[in-house]
This record gives sequence, C-alpha cells and structure tokens, in this order.
Amino acid sequence: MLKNRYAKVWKHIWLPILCNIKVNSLQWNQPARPPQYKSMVSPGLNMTDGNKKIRQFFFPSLTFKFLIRASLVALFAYLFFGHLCTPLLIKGRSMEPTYRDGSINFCWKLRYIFSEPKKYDVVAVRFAGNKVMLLKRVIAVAGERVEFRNGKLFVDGKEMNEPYVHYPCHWNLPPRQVEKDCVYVVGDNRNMPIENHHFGQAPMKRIIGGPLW
Amino acid sequence: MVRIKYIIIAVLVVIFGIWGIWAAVHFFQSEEKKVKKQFHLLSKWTSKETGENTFAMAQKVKNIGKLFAEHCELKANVISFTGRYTTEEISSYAARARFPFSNLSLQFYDFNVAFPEEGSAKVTLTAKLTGRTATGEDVDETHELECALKKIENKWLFSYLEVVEVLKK
Repeated sequence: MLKNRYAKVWKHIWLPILCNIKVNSLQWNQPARPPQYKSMVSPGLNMTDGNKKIRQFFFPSLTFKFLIRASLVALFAYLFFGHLCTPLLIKGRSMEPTYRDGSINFCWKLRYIFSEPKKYDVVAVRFAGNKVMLLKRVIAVAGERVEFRNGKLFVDGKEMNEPYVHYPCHWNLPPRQVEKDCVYVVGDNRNMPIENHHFGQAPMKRIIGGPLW
Repeated sequence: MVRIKYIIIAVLVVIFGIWGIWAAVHFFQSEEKKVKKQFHLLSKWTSKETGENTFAMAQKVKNIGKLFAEHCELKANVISFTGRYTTEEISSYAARARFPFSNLSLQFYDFNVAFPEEGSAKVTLTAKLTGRTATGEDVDETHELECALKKIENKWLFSYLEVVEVLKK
C-alpha cells in the first residue's frame, strides 16, 4: 500500500518535475476533464501548435514546477561539474602524446576515494587549490627506488617497460627512494632537459583524482 | 513638466545609488580584499607587455619594491633566491628578472587567506608565470606560494614569501 503510494508520488510529482513529462492526472484523485479541454491538452500536429511547442521549449513559462526543475538541474550541474567531475583544459606538452596541449578532459575526483593510485595511473596533482593542477603519471609508489639511466626508467633496479613514452629521452637521475604516503610522478614527454621538466615525489594528499579518459 | 521632474529625480537617485555602492566597495573593503589587492598589484607590476618602454619599466619595478616590507624573507630554492632582502634589492632583482622577457604575465589563483593575529595575514595560493623570452623561448611555470603579510601604516606589505616544493625531485 505504502509502496503504491510512493510510486504515485514519484510518478505524479517528481517525474514530471525532473523530466517535464505530462502525466495523465485523471488516474489520481482528479475530476475527469471535459473532452474539449482534453483536446486542448493534447493538440494535433499543426504548424501553430508546433511553433508553440518550440517556443515553449526555448522560452518556458516561469511556473513553480519549472523553477524547481531548473534549480535542481543547476544544483546537480554545480555539484557534479564543480566538485566531482571538473572540466580540465590541458596546457603544456609534458604529457604528450597521451594528452595533447589544448585538449579538454575532466578530472574525476572520486577515483581515489576508496583506493590509492597505482603504478602507471595518470593522476591530477593539486597546488594551493583546484583551479590549477598538474597531470602526471605515477611511475613508482611508496618504498620503491626510482632511477633514470640514459632515459630508461629503473624501479628497484629493474628496467621498466614504458609503452606510453614515444619521444627520445636521455635523462640521468641517481636512485632515490619514494617516501611513505607519497608517489613518484613524471610526465610522458621526456624529450627535454631534465631541469625543465616538472616531476618528482608528490604527497598522497595532493592527488585529487585522475582524468576521465 | 511634472514627468520630467520625476525622470530627473530618478536619474539622480540611480547616479547616487551607483556612486554609493562604488564608495562602499572602495572605502569599506574587507581586510581579505585589501590583502588580495596587493597580489593583484604584484601581478600587474610584474607583468610585461611587448614593447614596454623604459619609463614604464622603471615605474613598475619601483612600485614592486613598495609592496614589500623593509626586510622581507624570501625562500625560492627553484631560482636560488633565498634570504632576507630590502625593498631596493627586491626591486633590482625584479628588474633583472623581467629584463630577458619580451612579454610576461603573472597570475594568481586559489587564494587561501587567514589572519592568525591582528596585523598579520597568511596566504597560500598558486602562482602561474607565463611569457616569452627575447630569444623566443616560451616560459610556463606554476608554483604554490606561501606568503605572510604585515599591516604597516595601514598597508599590507609582504614580509615573507616561500615557493613551496610540490614535487620533490
């Protein structure tokens, strides 16, 4: 009984609000409408009505339901695109060819809520806030030793296969151990002097998510 | 005639209203806004446009010095610029640092302003420096900054500035 009532409430109140669906209210404690009114509600497909519908779609009348619907859509968009899945404009070439300069992506912030970044994941590293962040690839996790020998990456003394690196690299970096609660991040494009590339050990608390694709 | 009178009154009310809002914003700024304004000034005077003349450059460099306290501590390991500096030293360093660039832009994002005690402010923010050198080399640096400002003679002046190492090589 209760379930049926909830279904009615959902069908007659929330569904029309959220989806702008016209529901036949005759089924729910409403007096029957006269036939002439019914035909007005469900008009035929003549040009005037079509224009009306188009106008109604682009310039909807400011009804209470519309305002609630618009507010819900705005709230959802703000929460989703402002806090959970923020749009990213990639600037710079440090992650090429995986992520091109000027391309657009989204930062999915729930990615590392229940898990920690794994080796070879691409992660977003924040600065003071969320407006500017670094996009880098995790090459080693806490406790591992990282080293570059003539452009080749060695983790714990073992040479790693890096299919995402497409450009020549001649880096040399003495071995160093990744500290606790940190990950070692580097860009995919290492075709530049090592001094000009922004890479290194990042604390886990600075990792705010990863790109959506 | 009566209608014109009302229109004039309405126009005057609108003008005084706008002026009142401007005055309120301008004269009754919150301390946070005053602190942020110093960063906007730093950004404005550090930035450089192509073809900047010598007079404008000298004026900007002089103004940069005015934003700092008499003895300011700077910690920037990335550019080997660490120590206590006077306003003159900061101005001359700014002039030297700006010189090789044909255009330069410094922008600040993500301000976190706190007032640990009266007359002092702590700010954490992201600074983005972009530009092109005279030799055509593009520069794009982003760093997190930790700054401390002190209120001296009713002006917020930088007393400490540190470039935070986000990625430790």
